[in-house]
Amino acid sequence: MSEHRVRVRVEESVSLEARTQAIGRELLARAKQAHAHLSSLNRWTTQLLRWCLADPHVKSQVLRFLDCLPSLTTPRAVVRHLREYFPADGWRLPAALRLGVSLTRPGLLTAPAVSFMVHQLVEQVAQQFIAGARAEDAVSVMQRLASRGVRVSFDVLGEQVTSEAEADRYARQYVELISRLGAAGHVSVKPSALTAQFDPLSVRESAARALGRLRLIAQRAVEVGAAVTLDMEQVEYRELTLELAKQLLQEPGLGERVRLGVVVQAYVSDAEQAVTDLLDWLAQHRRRLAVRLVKGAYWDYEVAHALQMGWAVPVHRRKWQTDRTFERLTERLLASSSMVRPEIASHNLRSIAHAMAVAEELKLPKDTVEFQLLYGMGDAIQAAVASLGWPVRVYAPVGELIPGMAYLVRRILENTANESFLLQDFLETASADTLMAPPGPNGGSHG
Amino acid sequence: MAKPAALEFPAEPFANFADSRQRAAFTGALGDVGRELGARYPLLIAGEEVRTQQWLASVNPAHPAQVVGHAAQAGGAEMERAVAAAEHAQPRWAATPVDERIASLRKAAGLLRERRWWFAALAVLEVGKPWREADADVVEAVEYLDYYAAAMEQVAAGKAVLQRPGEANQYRYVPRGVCAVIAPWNFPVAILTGMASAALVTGNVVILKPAEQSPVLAYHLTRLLHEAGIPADAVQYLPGLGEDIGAGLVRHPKVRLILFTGSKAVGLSILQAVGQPEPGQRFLKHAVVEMGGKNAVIVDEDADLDAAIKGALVSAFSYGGQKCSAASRLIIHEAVYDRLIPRLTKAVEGLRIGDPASPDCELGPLIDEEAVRRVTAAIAQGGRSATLLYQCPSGRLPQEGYFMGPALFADVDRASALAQQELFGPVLSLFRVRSFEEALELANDVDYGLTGGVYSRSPSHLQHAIEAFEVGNLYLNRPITGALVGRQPFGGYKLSGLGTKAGGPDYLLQLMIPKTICENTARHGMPLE
Repeated sequence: MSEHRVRVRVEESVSLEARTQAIGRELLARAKQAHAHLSSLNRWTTQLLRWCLADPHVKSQVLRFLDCLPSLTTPRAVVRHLREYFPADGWRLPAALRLGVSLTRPGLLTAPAVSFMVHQLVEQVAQQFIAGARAEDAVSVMQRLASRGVRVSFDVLGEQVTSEAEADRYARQYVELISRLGAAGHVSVKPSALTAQFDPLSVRESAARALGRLRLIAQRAVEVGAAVTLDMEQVEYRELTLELAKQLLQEPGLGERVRLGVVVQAYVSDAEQAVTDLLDWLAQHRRRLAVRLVKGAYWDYEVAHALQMGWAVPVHRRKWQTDRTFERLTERLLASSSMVRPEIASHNLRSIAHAMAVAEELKLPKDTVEFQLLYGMGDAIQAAVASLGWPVRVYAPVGELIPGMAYLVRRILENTANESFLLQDFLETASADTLMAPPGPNGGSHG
Repeated sequence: MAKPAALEFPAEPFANFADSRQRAAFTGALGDVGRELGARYPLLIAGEEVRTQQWLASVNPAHPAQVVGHAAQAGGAEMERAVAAAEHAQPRWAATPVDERIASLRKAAGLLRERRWWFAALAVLEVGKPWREADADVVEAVEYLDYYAAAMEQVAAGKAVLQRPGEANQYRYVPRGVCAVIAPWNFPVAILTGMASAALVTGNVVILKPAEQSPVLAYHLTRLLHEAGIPADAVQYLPGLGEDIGAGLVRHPKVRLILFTGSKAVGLSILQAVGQPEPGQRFLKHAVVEMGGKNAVIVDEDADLDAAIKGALVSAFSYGGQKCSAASRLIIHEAVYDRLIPRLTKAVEGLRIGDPASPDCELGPLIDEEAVRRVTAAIAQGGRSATLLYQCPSGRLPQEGYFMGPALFADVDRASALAQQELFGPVLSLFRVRSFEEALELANDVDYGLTGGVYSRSPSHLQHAIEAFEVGNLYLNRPITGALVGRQPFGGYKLSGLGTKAGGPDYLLQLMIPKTICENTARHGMPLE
């Protein structure tokens, strides 16, 4: 590389960084404005997250209790579990729950009353992150968000699929949901729920099993003009999930018409190679995909699972590595917008601002890229992004509490990690410099 | 009291079949092994290849016409030769510095690690294991070698005893002597390697009697041990019929130690034989027997049913239930019974049955025709006293091979054979109970006490299970098979075994004799240190 070109690149990156900073500060200012009139978290969610943050043991017990709560069918069972998870002599018991447990003991409060209170609390927390219990709720959620200029992608929460009959039901729910939503519809599908036999050992066969049901969903989506994204789950399903997407894209009559999306997880150590391979494949097969770039939501699982199996940990150990990969991949995907539709899915102001700066530099029209956030998290950021004229979509799960609990636990874990932004009230307190610092080794760790 | 540190050793990672390179390596190994089928494997007596009149044909259970290899079948004369050679080799092997014995195990671990795909592929063909099961079998063997090497380092120096002026007290361990390792076919790599390596590292010479169904793997493992530096007369390969060679070794007056893993009937007969010294026998034999199980998994009213269903499938049907750790009873709280059963039945229906050489197979064949007959008879008999909820239609099974689809029974009489006897096949009996206490009582109401599982989210119920569930290996909210070396030492009690734990910190002590030495270091009453 000539010296001249090196200098040009350096200048480009200097100006990109400068633009990132400028946009970030603008976003921050707008988010602060929006924060003033948007409530970020409901009261019980705030309370619950505070308990969890205060003590890691309480956090584990709260999450374990929440995990089992939907399976408890009688008030007595609720009270018994409450006592077992939060022994009365333990000072760690959150005050409200302690009150409930100690009052039931002398008979001042009945078990049904305590159980009712607990359910109220948990439902409030669920409502923070889960858009509705029934598919019918999806339409009204979509309308409500549309009035704020925000689009939505729905995820139907389901029990784990243990048989092909259950996979059929899962796919049917999506077909019905798409029919309800119509042309504005956008759904996110879990590939592992499309067959009970989704096994990375037999990629071709497993993808073929899932393809039958994905095809039904995709056909309905094409009919009404809706879009489908294949969610990305554990790393061991990555190849299989991409294979499934490729098989669908090669379906005669469907592959060239379906609005399909896949997800890239920046925390996976070889995410950049995976994107290279995907772009090559798309170029070779002349197909287009939406690509949702996320950091990844299964970090704790990936680390623990790899250590249990004796494998190299497949994800970045440090958060700044993930953030840096996220920025590199943002640049790659935005530069490839002839082949992919980039969707930047992050709540991190720096990551969002960086993507906007890159899009500006590439002179991309704003509607070639979409910013995505999770339902119930960071409404102020949503508003700020939308106010700058960029498309925004929220990822909104719908479903009952039992199957929803895994999702809920993941969100609570995420929001009680050291880096949690929800509770830090960063919009009021954190400095712009800290929020906008480029990713580097001095940042925090994962988990 | 401070908890002692766990014994660290280099754990061997499982194959990660999400990695296409590892899948390709396995496919390649299947091809390599496939080209070597049908060879003849002589006995290995003191390093000499001995061909016999009778040969055992080891066939691929998925394609019985395919002979994996012919193994020489030892008779009484060969057994006498092998025992004589072993007796001759014993003092020299016992005198080999323990560091060398440990180094040999580590070298063997390294060799097996290098050849893991090849051995796993051979296990697919010789005993019908699907890829993951075959891989886990080899991984466990590598880990036994490394674990027992590390464990021996800890016990080699003996244990500290009290000292007083004028005397020097020692407490050390010495080998027992000639050891017969009588190995099963269901973990043809892991269990054989584990028992043999434990005996060897503690200074006992070994005569290996592999199962009749897996002599080819045993031959290659014996060769590998020789290659690792263990003398040819310290580990000999002696396949033959269990009733001849197995029984003969157990009774032989020169065999001092017997390591056995297998059925309850054979295990009990070994213990009986051990109690009756033969003429000319000048020591008490010691036997470590690990027998079967009638293992139960309890599903409590607050269980995570998704996890319980998946766990029950793995526990009951992985490797066709042909594991001593496999679940054959599922004890379900009435509050969730009606929700669980239809989901479980549909899940069982979906299991992928086929040739285990294919990567797309969860459930391969049973080991042999006799196993198919036995399980078929048990299902027919069970159908008379219980409700056959599901049986895989024979039309879904491959045309050839010893295939047997999974079966589920409900309304099972608690005293019946289905509820009490180990079947070693893909048959799961379901029980409905009214309380967790009743579940535990029922779980304990069998002769066996090997593994057990509980799916519950009640801390008090889990605690109750820890205290009252009579099993050697208790698993909470996870499948009950797949114990790992050094992490979940494995073995049962009641009529499942003597409580010894393979892959655990106490195992090696079973294979040695503690010896106390007290020396008077004083002269004329004056302590001279």
